[in-house]
Amino acid sequence: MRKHVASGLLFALVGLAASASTTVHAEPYGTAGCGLGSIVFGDSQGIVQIFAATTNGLFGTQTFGITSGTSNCVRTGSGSASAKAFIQANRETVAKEIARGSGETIVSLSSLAGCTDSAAVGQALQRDFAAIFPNEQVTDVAVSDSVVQSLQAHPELSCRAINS
Amino acid sequence: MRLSFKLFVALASVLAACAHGPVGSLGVPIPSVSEPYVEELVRQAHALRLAEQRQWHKLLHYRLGVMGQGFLGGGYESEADGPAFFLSPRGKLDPAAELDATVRALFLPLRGDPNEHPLCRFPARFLYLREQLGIDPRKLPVQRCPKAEQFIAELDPGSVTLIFSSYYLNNPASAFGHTFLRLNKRNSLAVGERRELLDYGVDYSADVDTGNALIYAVKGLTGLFPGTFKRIPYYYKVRTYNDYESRDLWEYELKLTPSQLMLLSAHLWELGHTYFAYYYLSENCSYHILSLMEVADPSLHLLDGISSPVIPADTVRALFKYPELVGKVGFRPSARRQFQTRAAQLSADELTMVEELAVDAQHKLPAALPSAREIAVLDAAADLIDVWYARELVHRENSEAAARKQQLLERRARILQPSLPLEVQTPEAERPERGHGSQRVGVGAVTGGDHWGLSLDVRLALHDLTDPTPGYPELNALEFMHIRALFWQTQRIELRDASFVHVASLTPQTRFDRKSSWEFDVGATTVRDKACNNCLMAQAAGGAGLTFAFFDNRLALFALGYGNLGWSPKLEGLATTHFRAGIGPAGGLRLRITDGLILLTRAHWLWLPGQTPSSTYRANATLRISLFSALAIGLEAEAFPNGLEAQALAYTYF
Repeated sequence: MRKHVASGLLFALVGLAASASTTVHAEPYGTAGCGLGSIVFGDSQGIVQIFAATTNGLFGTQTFGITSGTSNCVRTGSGSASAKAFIQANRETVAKEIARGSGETIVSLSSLAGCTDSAAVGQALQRDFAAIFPNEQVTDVAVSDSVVQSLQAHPELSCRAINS
Repeated sequence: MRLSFKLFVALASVLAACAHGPVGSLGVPIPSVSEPYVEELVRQAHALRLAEQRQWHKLLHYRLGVMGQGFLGGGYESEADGPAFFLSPRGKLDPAAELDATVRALFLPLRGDPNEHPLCRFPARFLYLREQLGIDPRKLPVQRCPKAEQFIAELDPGSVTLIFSSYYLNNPASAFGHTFLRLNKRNSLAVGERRELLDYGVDYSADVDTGNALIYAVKGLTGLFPGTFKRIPYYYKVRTYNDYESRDLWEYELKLTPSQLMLLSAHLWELGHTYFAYYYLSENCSYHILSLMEVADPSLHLLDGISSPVIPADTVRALFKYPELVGKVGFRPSARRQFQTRAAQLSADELTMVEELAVDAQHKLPAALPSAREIAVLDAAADLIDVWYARELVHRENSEAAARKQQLLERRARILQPSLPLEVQTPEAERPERGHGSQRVGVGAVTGGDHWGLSLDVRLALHDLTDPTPGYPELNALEFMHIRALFWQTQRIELRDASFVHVASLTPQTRFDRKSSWEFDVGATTVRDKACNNCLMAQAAGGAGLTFAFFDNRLALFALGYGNLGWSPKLEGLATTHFRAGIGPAGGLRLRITDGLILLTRAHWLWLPGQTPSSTYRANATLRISLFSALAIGLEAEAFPNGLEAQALAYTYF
């Protein structure tokens, strides 16, 4: 009996992990992880701010400077929503690594998208660089959509988690 | 899945039909299951003296007050400040009352959302009590905790890593470092490729509600900001620290057992419900990260011997009290170090190309350049743009830099070959645990004129330009609460310097880094010139300029434009006030003969317009010799308008 219950639960858990998305919703009793995104002394300058910021770092509170299209409670399970959130938050690095055809964010992105071969993903995205980044003004959201489209357009990459 | 298995077997091996006990609002202890069973558990908990166990105290973050046990009936107080963290009204101060209330609350009838049931809100306490009391899961009213289960399943830790985000004074917010945790997902450990970016970071930080620096400092020092634990994808951390702030990350894998990791995950869920008063000096990020480790493994006494101010690097050193605790030590280089590594692999001609490309992305490269070298040059140039404009690019504030980066990347993408992974050498000498202790006390002798005396030097934190170099950035000084007092044979006591905060950031000029160097000092110092002999003066001083370094930074020369503003009741200063204002040059030389033998000379000369005297100066030379990791000798000489002085001190770091 115990064993059955356990396997049932495990099944449920695996399902949960797979379906974890970036849905943002208020958690009245507080999941750790919400409440990110404010900029505190992100770009402060001048001696007073330097001092304040020093105290800030000195005693362990931290600045958070990156604003991104993603919101609070970001999750890192696989799927196209997670993949897009990842691309948006990592945009500057993703751009560089797509141009280079390789890198750590490409490996992570491949994992989120469920692709089998991250080296092949890197090469495919490198070829699509001009389509993904037509100019520097393109928004983070547009970049993330284009990357996912590009992966979907390459069936040989078999990115299972984003192919609907 | 062995790990998740444990809790969930525990939580839900009770698929017996929901017991609908008497209706009562949560918090009112009306056990749904046979009361005798619950009361028997309570008796058992008393017999086992669970309320006195370290594990229970850790789970509830109880700490013995300064008055000790027995004072006003107990002496324990939980550091948690959110009232919802306690099930007993006396819970904050009374471990025993909280224990009884918790045992009873586990059996409260389920009413409404199961996620709100005490068992689901406090799964770590449940895990602990189940193990200690052998609770029969069939008697529990709650079988599933969907949200807690999801939270834990998402973390799914196969191991945990403590991360130290290094000092970086050019970004003052990073001055003393920071620590947080990374929970390494088991599935990312299983694969050979690095997928740490998708793990979760957990940190403890203040929820700041002001942009005003003064309010910020006051509230932070007095515990008026709530501190909360946050779970954030590790990629945010990497982008923030490595890229945005250009700080190295040191990663210490900690060896915890699967059940300890489970307890830690469940406890993090509990902490999401509460907050703590955030004290910069004592109960700060590093303190609470260590306390999390003690929750996971109560046999660890990491916080013993950690005193205020709690400096992040000290908490890293504390891990090494347990040689078995720390596993692999990883290093994740900052954007700046990544660029430097790329630059080190280029020829002089190629470096010139990088320099050209960074200002003109259309710059033509020699046609004869092999594609592998072209890749190396373009990759270095793109990294350089990212280092120079890290903030502007993220905030979209510099369209010109963004356009340059875009053009460089377009050029790079046209060469359809992948870049090879960049191998960055770990700077072993900078490992934070190799650094000297953050607090320092020195005693010695002073002589000046015809007098002798004793010299006492106390510093709460952290490092100056002559302290032993390992573990610290070479050309940075960061001192907090530094006092030097002299006890002369003539029975005169003199507070020579009392610096509240002193920061010096010397950045050597290179072709790729033109950042200026700067220094400031806020506190009190002694005036020893014609205006006044030995008057203590409150002052703020500071300056900015350039540093040039040679021989791998062993020799550094710096020159700053410098100024100060002081006040002393004994001064006849500016326009009949007691203020003094000076401006002039400052400069110095630092020579690192070995890591533990460092010479520093420094001087400033200040013009005091419209004041008496019309100028003043201070010049000193220090030779610091480290004998052991915790002991050093300092030989110091100083010149000032009213005389000369020499001191010899023995310093100990702890």
